[in-house]
Amino acid sequence: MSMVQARGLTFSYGSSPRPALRDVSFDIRDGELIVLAGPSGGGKSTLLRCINGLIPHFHGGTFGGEVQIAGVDTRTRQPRELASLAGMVFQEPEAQVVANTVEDEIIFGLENLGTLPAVTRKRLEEMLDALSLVHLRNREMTTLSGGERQRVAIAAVLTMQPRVLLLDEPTSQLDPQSAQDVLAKVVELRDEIGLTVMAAEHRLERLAAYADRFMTVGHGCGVRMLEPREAMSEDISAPPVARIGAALGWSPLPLSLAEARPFVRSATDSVSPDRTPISSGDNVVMVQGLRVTLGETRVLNGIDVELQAGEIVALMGRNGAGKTTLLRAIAGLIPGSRASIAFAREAEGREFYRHVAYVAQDPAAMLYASTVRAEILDVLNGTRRDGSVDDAFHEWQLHDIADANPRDLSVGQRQRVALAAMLAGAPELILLDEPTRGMDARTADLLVANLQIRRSAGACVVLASHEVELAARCADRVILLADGDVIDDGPPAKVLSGSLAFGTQANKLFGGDVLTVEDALAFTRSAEFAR
Amino acid sequence: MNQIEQRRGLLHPACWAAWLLAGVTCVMLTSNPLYLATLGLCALAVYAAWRRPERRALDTLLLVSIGVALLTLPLNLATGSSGATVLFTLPEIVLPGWLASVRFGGDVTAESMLFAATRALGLIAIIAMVCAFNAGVDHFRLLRLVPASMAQLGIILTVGVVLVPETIARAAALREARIVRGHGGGMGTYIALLLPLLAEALERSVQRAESLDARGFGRLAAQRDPRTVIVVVACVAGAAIAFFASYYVDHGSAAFASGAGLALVAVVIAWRQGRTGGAVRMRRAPLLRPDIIVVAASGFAVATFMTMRQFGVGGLSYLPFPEVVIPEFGIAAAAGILLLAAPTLFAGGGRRL
Repeated sequence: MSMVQARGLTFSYGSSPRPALRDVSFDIRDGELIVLAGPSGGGKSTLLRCINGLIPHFHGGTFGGEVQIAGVDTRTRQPRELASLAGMVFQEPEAQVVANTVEDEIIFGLENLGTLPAVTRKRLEEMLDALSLVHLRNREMTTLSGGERQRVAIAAVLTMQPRVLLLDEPTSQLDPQSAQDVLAKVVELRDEIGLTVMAAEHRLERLAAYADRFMTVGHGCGVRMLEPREAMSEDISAPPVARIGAALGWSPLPLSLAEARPFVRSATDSVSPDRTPISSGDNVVMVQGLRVTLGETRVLNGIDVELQAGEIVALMGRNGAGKTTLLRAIAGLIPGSRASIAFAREAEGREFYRHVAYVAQDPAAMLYASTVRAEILDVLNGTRRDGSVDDAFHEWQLHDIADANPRDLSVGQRQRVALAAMLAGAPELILLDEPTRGMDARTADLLVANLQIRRSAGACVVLASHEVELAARCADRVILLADGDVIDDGPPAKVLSGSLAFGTQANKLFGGDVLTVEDALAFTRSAEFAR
Repeated sequence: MNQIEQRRGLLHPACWAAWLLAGVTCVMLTSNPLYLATLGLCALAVYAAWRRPERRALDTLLLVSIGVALLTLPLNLATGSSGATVLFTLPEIVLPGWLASVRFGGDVTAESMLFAATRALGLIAIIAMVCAFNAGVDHFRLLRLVPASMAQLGIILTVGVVLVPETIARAAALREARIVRGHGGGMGTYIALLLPLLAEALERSVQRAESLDARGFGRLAAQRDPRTVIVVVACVAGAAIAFFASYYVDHGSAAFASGAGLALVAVVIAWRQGRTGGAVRMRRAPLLRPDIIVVAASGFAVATFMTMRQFGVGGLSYLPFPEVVIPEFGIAAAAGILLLAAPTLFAGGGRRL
């Protein structure tokens, strides 16, 4: 039976001359798990909004064609009436909170559906257990971390037991373990009660193996439905196992570690010593005994870290470990706790930020000009860095949207604009908080290339990230934080290998100091593998 | 098997609404600066008792609003003064003939100064009450009291209620962005960021309304008999007409009291009508003893003020013209005002009666 059906769906937002979706047709069967892939700003969020009726009922624009969910034409029903059929988790968990406490937030939808109190209570308890939220049940929503809030948002939708679950980047803010838990729950619901799932997601390491089909949504054109293996053999956002498999001609193409393991004849446990950081040795940042208390919570208890010029450092750790706070302290944004920064020790205000660039977790919050061009100019003027707008356009491929208002762009595009603006010129210390949140693979590649160029020019880059694969690809050094302490610090091969939560797929397959796809391919050509 | 809501030391949202209504009514019933100041202090005491770190944004709101209220002082003085005691004289700007009725500058009298200060005091008292209300109330639970047939109103309320604290939080984030972008974080920043901030607040509101809609808010109301909606709308409209008509005829008289009473009855009918068939609550939220005490105290306060107003005793009305006299300060009115401090007894969660 067809659960979601679109025929000739075309939509353009009121202000935009180009349609966001053009002539989209597809059929999704009951109980399928569909992964929506495609570039940022390609129309994934728009498509999801068409399915629960927010388009055309909530957003103005030109709507053509039709969408049916469980046989109901979305044009004939308001989104609130479709709420029991389609549950949606929005991309930005901050903006979807309604209630004050976690419990109220989770049962909000059920109460609106008129569910009996006894049933509501039972489902609440089940959901608290399923997503490990029991310890948070009485907390105020404003006191939760981004990742915790995302889990609550997912719980709030799942309790309504919709027939179709629409997820817009559901794990973008979660640490690896939480992301795993959330996706496991979704897959379990698909398997056990036949929930139909449509998830827009850029991080495919976890989801690819469970997907029934992929839907590629491109710029203003129709969608393509592909079998997972077919999709993953050509997509640049394919998980590392799939890329290793494709390069080595493994067939059928593995999408998960379990599927890949039979192809691996031998693993290694050797860690070669030549992967030590290549840095000039000049200390750029010296943090000594940094303690930060926010409200009544001690966030950092005495951190000692030295960062050198010419290195990329990844700050990792679970949600709430203190990564953001450490970055902000180095960026001089936490009063009274400034780290000592070598070249800018005496500099204040403008002069300080001439050398130091900081991009916050929510890049949209850093933008305020009326065009992309103006954003970049504003930073260059404000910080008096040497650089040109055109260079920034070129580096981040922004020519197409140079004169667009950042507010009209997708979350992913805004992020690219924020990076281009904040890193404009040549800052010597670059601090990035979750730079790849909601970022497509192409932009992530752009970011990595850009950071590598800046590193070789002598900049020091610090990135806080949950993305193990990102850290493995570009970091010279990984600092692992837990509960406000540094618990590990060293080259990625040492910190990331052999870790259950923070290990990369390539490392889990081949062991030793194999971290990236390139490492894996080099290893398979080596004598040790052939043996 | 409808369980009872655990409120963990919070007062019932309806109780907060009653308190706010009573407080604002008292402010509207008096023009005596001493009573207004007492009312303001009372409200500030309640705010101080209920203030929480999560709603730190309200401090800013309170300070900014008081600042704005104080700004009306010089404006009032500059645009016209009458009264006997001239304190000093401002240079008068002569306006063209067609604006002859508007004065700008001239004599500043003690009377007009006191008059302006009284109005500012009234404004500050109301602001402090609104802040105390916002600090204490659980907005979401307040929202759930809105009848299902007024779901649209509910959406507007939620979005509105979240807007202020969220905008203040966004302002902090944008200020930080300005600093990082090398522009410093001074006062100029807030002016430069005003427009982007409004645009962003608007965008967030749209997202929240979207989320409410997508989670079925107001869905049961939509499926209901349209006749109920008509009854509700008629009752609310009737209430508004009764209230304003009687206020217009003569506020402070029996006509106003009966008009206000009629309006209250109409609102209660509308509320009860509208509630049937609404969302089903997992837990019942009955009024507990502290709630009843606060509601009763608020009721007594209003009743005291209304009675005094009706019989013209206690000096509720005060006009400093033609010459300043010391305003009256009666024990009965003061006691009525102190009753409005009842919520302070139950702040902090632990202390329950």
